[in-house]
Amino acid sequence: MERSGDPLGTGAAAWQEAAQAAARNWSGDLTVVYLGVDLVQTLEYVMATQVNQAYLADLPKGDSSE
Amino acid sequence: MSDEAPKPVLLMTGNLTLAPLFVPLAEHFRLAFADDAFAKAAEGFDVKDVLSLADFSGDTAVLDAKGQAMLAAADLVEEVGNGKLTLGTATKLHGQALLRWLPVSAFEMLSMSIARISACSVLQKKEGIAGVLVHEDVTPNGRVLAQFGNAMGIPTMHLPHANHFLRPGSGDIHCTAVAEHLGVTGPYMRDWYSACGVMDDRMTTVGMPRWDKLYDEERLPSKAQARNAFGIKDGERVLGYGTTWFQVTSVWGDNPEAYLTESLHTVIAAAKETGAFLLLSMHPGELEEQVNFYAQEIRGAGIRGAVARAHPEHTLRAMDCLVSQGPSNFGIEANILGTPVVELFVPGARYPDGGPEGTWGKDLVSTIDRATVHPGFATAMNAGASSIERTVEWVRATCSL
Repeated sequence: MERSGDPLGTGAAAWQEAAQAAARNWSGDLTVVYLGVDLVQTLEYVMATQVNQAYLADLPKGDSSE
Repeated sequence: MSDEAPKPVLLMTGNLTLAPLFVPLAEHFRLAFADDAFAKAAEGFDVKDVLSLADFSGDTAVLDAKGQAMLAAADLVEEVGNGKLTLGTATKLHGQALLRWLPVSAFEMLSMSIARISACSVLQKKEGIAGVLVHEDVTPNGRVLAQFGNAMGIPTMHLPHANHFLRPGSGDIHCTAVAEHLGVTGPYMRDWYSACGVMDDRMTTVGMPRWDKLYDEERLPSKAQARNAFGIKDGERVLGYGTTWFQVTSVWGDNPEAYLTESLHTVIAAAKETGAFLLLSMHPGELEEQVNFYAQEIRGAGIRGAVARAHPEHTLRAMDCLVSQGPSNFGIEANILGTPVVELFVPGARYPDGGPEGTWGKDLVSTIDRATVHPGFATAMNAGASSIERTVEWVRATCSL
């Protein structure tokens, strides 16, 4: 099924790409593995949430436009 | 004593999506729950011999997990200190406060995840695990189970819900799939995951187990019963509103909370203009306190209405039309039940073509007036009744039973 109407790529916050990149690689060059489980990947959701919250908190007060 | 061989163990998360499967899966598996609350819930359904990961995690394991997490956090502190760890442009926030906070947050989350992996490992050694079934493999609770199964060569299965309304490949975490096998709800979700890069042989169309009852008229309230439950008067027009919440895994519109409040006011204005009773159904992800906010807003507008947090079959049956805030599973449920739907847009996610007509809000009343049911949309979104049977067979086959 095709989509039409609203361009779905629009509307994302300006920092979205940076936040997603930070969440996927929050440990930098450090590997964090336990019993074969890559814990960097495990915590991606939490890190995405918290990095975005930090960006939201960093918005100038009274100006929600960036 | 029974001569029967012990049933194989299925490790699973709980929640509403998987709950309808507890009893039928228990006919073939011994269920082991990651969360103790769902182990108790399954026992409430009279499921026998339920296991809980909590029973496989002693004090020593928890202390060991904290120790492992401390070491990892200490490494992170060192990396931050010597300038090796950066978070890209995110580092600029509050003069690098984000980096100073990172090891603390990582310690907390790593402790929990390592303890869970440790308990999974003990369960595997003591009982064996035939398969891992999760509803979501994005949040740490479900993802770590899927990762553990993958690492141990145990079949991992994932029953997603509404991820498929996002733009494929948008970068949002919901566009990823960690579990090896996906039980998708219908052809549209299958196409969507394909567009996200999931190979077709990883997917089986099973439908949504908790929607089976929507196809069974005997288990549903009549429209009169549903309206009576909310105190709706005879002949009164009922406008439904399915609210949503914003997950900060992706942020759209810069200030989504303000956007959603504005949308609420648009719906209230539409109810006022048409003299309709506003039946507001909250998203399960919203905070409980939000019910008071909605109630105050409806009261303050001087219209008749009600706020519901559960019983979707009653709310949908009572409505003459549902306004869905963004593309929601609730709108699919409405289509299955024959309730017309209007989508009130949010940025970045959308029902596909062939689904409900939508608006940004200015022409909401006229869009409501011409709203119709789209049976083809419901079929594309859900494989129909008997999803529970299909899902149980899929799980059994995946676990080679």
